Amino acid sequence: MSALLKTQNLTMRFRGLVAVSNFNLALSKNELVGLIGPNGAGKTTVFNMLTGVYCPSNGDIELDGESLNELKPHDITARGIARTFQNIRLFKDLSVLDNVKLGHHIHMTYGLWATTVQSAHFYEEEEKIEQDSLKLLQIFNLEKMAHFQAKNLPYGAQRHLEILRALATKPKILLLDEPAAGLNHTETESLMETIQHIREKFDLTILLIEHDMKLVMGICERILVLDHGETIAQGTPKEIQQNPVVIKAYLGES
Amino acid sequence: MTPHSIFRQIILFIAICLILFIFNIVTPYVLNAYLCMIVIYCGINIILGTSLNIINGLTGQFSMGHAGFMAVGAYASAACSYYYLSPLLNSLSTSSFITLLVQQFFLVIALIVGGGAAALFGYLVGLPSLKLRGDYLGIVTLGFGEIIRVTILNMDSLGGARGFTGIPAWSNFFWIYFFVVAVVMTSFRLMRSYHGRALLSIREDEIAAESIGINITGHKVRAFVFSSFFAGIAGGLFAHFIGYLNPSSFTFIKSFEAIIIVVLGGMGSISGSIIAAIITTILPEALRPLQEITKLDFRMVIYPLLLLTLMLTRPQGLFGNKEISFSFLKRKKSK
Ligand SMILES: Nc1ncnc2c1ncn2[C@@H]1O[C@H](COP(=O)(O)OP(=O)(O)OP(=O)(O)O)[C@@H](O)[C@H]1O
Ligand SMILES: [Mg+2]
Repeated sequence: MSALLKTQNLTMRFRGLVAVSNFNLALSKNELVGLIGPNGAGKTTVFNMLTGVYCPSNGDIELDGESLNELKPHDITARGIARTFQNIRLFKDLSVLDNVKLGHHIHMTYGLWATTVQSAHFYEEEEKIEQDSLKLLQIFNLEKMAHFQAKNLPYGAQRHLEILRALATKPKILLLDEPAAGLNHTETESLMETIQHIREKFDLTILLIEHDMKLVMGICERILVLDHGETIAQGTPKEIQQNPVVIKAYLGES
Repeated sequence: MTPHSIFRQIILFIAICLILFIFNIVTPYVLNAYLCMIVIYCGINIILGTSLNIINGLTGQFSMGHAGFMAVGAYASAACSYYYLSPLLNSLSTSSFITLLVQQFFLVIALIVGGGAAALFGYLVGLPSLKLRGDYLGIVTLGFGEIIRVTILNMDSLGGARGFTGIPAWSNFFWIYFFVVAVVMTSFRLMRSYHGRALLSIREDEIAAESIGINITGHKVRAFVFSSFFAGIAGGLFAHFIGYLNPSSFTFIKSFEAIIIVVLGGMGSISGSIIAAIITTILPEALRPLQEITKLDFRMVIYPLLLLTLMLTRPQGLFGNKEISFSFLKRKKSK
């Protein structure tokens, strides 16, 4: 079976520093893959290359057999890759609802003229994304806070909202950068369930970065380990847990 | 008939035109010439402030050359009517009523030429500079404004430093407030659409905006063109109201006045821009008696002091990013 997302020898150099070197990934449809590694290993840099924030110094990215190399971030999102950020990037002064509505941006079709004359088309689409957004908010029980400013949400809810905003783009692949960072034990548990739930419901392929081993080992089918930009191991959670190279990388670090 | 059909919009349009028409006829009887002029300047400043608010307030880009776009619009529309439309109008020998109609039609053409020219310049200036991040836009637009002014200063066909005289004074309350309504209504409607939300998202966080598929350069350029278009219209209305243009009306001071309106009203608040435009137009006039008593221009002391006080006590501007709510006017949402 051919991979949905494939990278070949993906490399990112910042001046002298090689943040990621020869990263090879093949994501099949519906997989849930974890990307782990000590601090500064290059995990977020991989996400930034996959989403076009950084232009790789070397290597190729292919989605469904089409190259993503030269594309801008917004084009890549339109092709079906959505993401969240390690340091939450919500539209803080906008309402929770507007944040999710904005996630629908690429699926909106009415033009500036329809906006100016407030045509029926305008109302229909606005009504539809309002309903769709409210439905999405229900996934994390946020619908009651729809009219709060995003910055007034509790920390955990902000992480949730960011996931919903990414989901609203209707992606094929969802990249989650440390979704459980800063969450407490019970919140992490419920997040694990939700991630699996949305994978099924939206027919998603998920790649996630996470330091919380319980989450990674609990839900990922396959794990890649980065250290100093190198892929030092990959395999099932069991294999990774017993891999001496991985243990050394983690222990050697602390 | 659905409540939001095109029919409803046409009725609204006709109603607004009628009100403006009555306003146009009645105002000169009610107000003296001086007060009329203040009302006109309020209108022009509302157009300037509201249009700049789109780019500086909603999109969060810092343009400092609004006077430049106003100048382009003013001179382009003035040249259009002075060199082409006015001679054409004089060559028509029809009844005075028809002439009046044609004249008003020509005014609209001249305004659209002015707005279009300003929008074109907006595109040419915006496309390269809006791709860059941060303060480049401010510097480029500031430079652009000065280049435009100096260029006009050296163009004899536009009167150069002596000024451009003999522009037909075709504009009136109706057209000035027609465009006030136009820019305010389109701004409000834009804000409630996904186009407007995209602009707000760019102001909030460009990287996040890109990550959800928003073409930030495209949206910034569109906002900039829209904003420049209305600055050009404001320029055209101004030119055809006083019938005389001088490059010194379009220095960077004028751009700063527009910025003050946006900041004072609250970045991103349309109602704020309107109120602030009215305040900044009336306040210096209201302080004029002070100047006559003291023989010193105290206005330029008190006016900045007031602004300073406001910025210290309410740094988010009069309205923050809120709007005056007209929800009581809207039809109740049927559940
Ligand atoms: N824009 C940049 N310019 C220069 N160096 C960078 C840049 N972005 C990342 N780096 C460097 O690349 C390396 C990898 O960073 P990255 O953020 O990908 O790590 P990470 O695996 O996500 O770590 P963490 O677990 O702390 O989030 C680090 O040494 C970092 O300093
Ligand atoms: Mg990281």
